[in-house]
Amino acid sequence: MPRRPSSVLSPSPCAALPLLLSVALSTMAPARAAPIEAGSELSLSGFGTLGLARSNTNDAQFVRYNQAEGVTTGWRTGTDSNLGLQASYRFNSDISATVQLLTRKFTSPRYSTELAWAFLKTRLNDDFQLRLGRVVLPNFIMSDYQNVGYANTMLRPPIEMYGQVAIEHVDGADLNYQRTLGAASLTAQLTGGVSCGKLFVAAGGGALANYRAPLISLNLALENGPLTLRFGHMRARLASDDFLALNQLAARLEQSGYARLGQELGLVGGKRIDFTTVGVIWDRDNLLLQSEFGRRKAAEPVYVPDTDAWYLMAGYRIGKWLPYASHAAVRQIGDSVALPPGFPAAGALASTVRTGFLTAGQQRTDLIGVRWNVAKSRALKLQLDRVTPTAKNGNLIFGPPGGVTHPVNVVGLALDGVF
Amino acid sequence: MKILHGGMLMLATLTPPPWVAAETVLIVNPKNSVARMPAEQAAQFFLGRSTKLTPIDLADNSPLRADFYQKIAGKDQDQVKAIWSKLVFTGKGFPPKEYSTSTEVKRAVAADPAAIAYIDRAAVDDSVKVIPIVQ
Repeated sequence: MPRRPSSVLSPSPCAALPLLLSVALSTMAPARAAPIEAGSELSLSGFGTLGLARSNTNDAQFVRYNQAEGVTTGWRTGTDSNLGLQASYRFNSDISATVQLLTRKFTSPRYSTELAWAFLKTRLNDDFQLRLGRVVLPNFIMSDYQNVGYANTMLRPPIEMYGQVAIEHVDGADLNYQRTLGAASLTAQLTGGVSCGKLFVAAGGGALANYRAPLISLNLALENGPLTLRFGHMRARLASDDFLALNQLAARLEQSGYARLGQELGLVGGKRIDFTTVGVIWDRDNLLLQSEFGRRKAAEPVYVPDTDAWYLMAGYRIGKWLPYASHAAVRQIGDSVALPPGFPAAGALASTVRTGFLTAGQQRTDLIGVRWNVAKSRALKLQLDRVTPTAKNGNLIFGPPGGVTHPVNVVGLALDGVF
Repeated sequence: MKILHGGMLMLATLTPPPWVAAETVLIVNPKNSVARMPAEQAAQFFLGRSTKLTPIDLADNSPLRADFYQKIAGKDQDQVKAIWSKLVFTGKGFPPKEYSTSTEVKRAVAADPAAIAYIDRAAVDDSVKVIPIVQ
């Protein structure tokens, strides 16, 4: 197969970032024009994971969310390996600029590099910080550092929970409020902007759809000693004009006299979807507990099924070793589309609509693993997942039409580092 | 019995046992008016939860550093590194500046009214102010 050169940076389909950064630069021009102060400095840092994974079946591929290629019975590096490089420049104690490049296998079966973060940050006062540019959304506890293996206990975030939202970064503004109340600290993060990216659609052999999603998100965290409580809410208006399978279905429905149903299922013009999450962490001495519950719910008719997901992880530190176990599940709680009266209950079209689109892939996972802090800034992890699809192929891809009907075991090995 | 008990206590308080090589103390700039600090509050500065004071670290192979983080937060250096990795790679903060000797740390604290650091009690002088940690 001819190897195509991988593009270093895929152009942003909404092209909002260059505009935002130029606006940010011009508003911060006074700081730029000022003589470089003694406190200014450049810091270069990075993180990386070397991962190996395989499963015990060739019936379907195990992936993280939105990945175009997964693992079967052969060892593969692509599921968990990545490299992040970050440069930050501090103009003074109040203003800084940060850029982070992330290389991984994501919506393409090849390794590719994306601009994960690119922002200018200014400290407004002791409590408020404003960032302009591209930031990763903190939808769930680990969302904005899920690729930094060293910062995570588990080898990968629970797919059931984190797979509910494929939107990762947003070009816009992010206001951070941080306040200490005695021994406790409260953080509020309000983020707004437009996210542009690709959705990997495994159905029909695999295809990509470009999406654009204006969104607003609020995240609150209260930390008090060992206890962290978290709440998050995001509303996004998810739009995609080139989601081939959806557009082909809309055309078929229109031919059959169900044009309105086709529009309701589709993403053309954008559909509002809400994501709500609560989370808790207990981390004291040797005991570590972490749990999250997240709900995805459409605010207007769209094919995207309404789902609930949750996980509970427990770990116990024994010196440099941290054995852990986790249970996670995602299940469908409903859908937002009412089928018109007289819509067939059986047949190819009915099956495509009801099972193909309106039914979520559902599954649960039981996993055990161990993190070993093998050296300074290095951690080695071994993790065994037992994935049980409960509807369709769960979060597995390229499975049989009837869904994988047996549990799938996955073994993962990873070396994480920061530098 | 009572007298003997009291005598042992006094001995333990006045003369540190010979195997205790160093005692870590929290220091700030003399201009800082704070009189004492709960361990949880000190942890907020050193673990990136508050930027009101600027933390300064000793080099990461320093036994004083390991002892200090255990004292204020009950965390080892691997845990501290993981916490700062989260903050650095989500653009939330910059890790404390590191100096390899107590002399350099004192100089940095004396130069910055917002600085907070830790050194061996034996290295304390008038250029910095010791803040008792309240557990």
